[in-house]
Amino acid sequence: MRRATVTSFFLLGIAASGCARFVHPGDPISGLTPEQRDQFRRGRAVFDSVFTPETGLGPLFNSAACGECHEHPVAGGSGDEVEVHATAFHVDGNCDMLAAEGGPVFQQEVTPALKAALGIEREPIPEDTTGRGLRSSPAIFGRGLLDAVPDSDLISYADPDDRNHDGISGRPNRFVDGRIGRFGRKGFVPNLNEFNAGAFVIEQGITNPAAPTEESIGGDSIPAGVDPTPDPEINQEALDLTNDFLRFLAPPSPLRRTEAAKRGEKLFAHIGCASCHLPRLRTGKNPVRALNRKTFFAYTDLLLHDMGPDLADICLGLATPSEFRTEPLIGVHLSSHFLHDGRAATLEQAIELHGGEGSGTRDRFKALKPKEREAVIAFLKTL
Amino acid sequence: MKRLTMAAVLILLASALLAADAQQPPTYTWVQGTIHAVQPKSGSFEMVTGVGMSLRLLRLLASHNAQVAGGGAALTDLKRGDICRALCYASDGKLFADRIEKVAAR
Repeated sequence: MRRATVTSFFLLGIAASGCARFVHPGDPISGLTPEQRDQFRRGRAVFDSVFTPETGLGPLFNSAACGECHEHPVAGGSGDEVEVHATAFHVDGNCDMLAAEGGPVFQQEVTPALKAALGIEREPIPEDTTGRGLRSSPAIFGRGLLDAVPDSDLISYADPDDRNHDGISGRPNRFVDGRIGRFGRKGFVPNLNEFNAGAFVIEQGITNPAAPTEESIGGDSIPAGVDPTPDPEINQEALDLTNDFLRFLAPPSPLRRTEAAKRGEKLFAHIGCASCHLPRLRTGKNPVRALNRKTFFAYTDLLLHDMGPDLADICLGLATPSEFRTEPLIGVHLSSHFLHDGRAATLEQAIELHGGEGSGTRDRFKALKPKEREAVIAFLKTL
Repeated sequence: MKRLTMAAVLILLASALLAADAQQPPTYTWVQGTIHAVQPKSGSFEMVTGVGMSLRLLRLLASHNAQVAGGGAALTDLKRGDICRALCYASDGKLFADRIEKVAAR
């Protein structure tokens, strides 16, 4: 009888693992309703829409489509494009995000009409800037899950005064109105919908019901006749569908782990990477069943950490120039460049460029034997 | 979503409502953001608001009977970096704040 029970459990286990769907990059999360799958599909079409000046593009923009930057290997993946952010960090600790002068994102493209009117090729960066940062286009898989993690969880991970003396002192960033942030390389934006609505305007110059006005041109008004498309340039339905696509875009399944990668996973935790790159997060109560109370692999704590002076660039909200939000490692095996500005060509370089709170872990990584270092990298390449 | 709607209303207030007919009764809206600058002499202050990474600077005038509450009793008590909310309306192409509350000090 006992043997039969054990065999039954074994077979059940096999059946369960056989049923677990391998999630390819670009797939929706599992458990969506047919209606939600339809919203995902239609949202991807909006995400891939290419705008022109006639359909609202610009007058300032970085790209003509969401999918132009988030494209590799599928819509929602990473991209080669790098954009420019700038702010002014004052000695009293205040961060001027240069909102009066068109910041913090300074667009690198202009429409022909704006170029004809002002003779500029890109948005001018003001002279009072103290920091300039380049930002690569990250893969944005699994952002709906990250969005659904309760603020209270983020707060529970924070240790701003390093009371446990582990050299790690994460803290949440806050948006201009005081809410806890989590999206963007500095963890400034509170939620996915707002990130997307703002991104339509700053990246493509596409106004929408949630962000209904264009960016200024370095703080000045848009010359008359340059942007004749009536605002908002997309409607609520298009915005909602884009939000649905990104909310339902699944984290790709981790790749099969070799023995070396399995050793690497243990070393990843042992040398301290997992102190900030928390392997698992859990969503809270959510009206979408597929996002409701789900544990998922995230490899982030969504908190700000001081990464040292060599990586420092702009301030943003509470984030000082050297503070960055722990980058989620979801789908990192699909990326070809790493860190916030893409300066690292390999994962090994990215680890070695960690400073500040990451320097202890970096040093422990560098002290590993070559085979152990290879194991850590092999593990990361499965994520 | 509610916050997003509020932020959209806020930006609309700064643009569309600025052109509103002064004869209409004022429409009040709460706006929340970070104080960028305070000019006590002119009774004005600037607040950073926005949606996502798309930020805007609002210039507001404290109305003659404006109340400042929540940690300060006057406009001069507001400091750059404070998070405040203001009950405001548009008139004559300008934004006026009737009530200003400090939500969190810098």
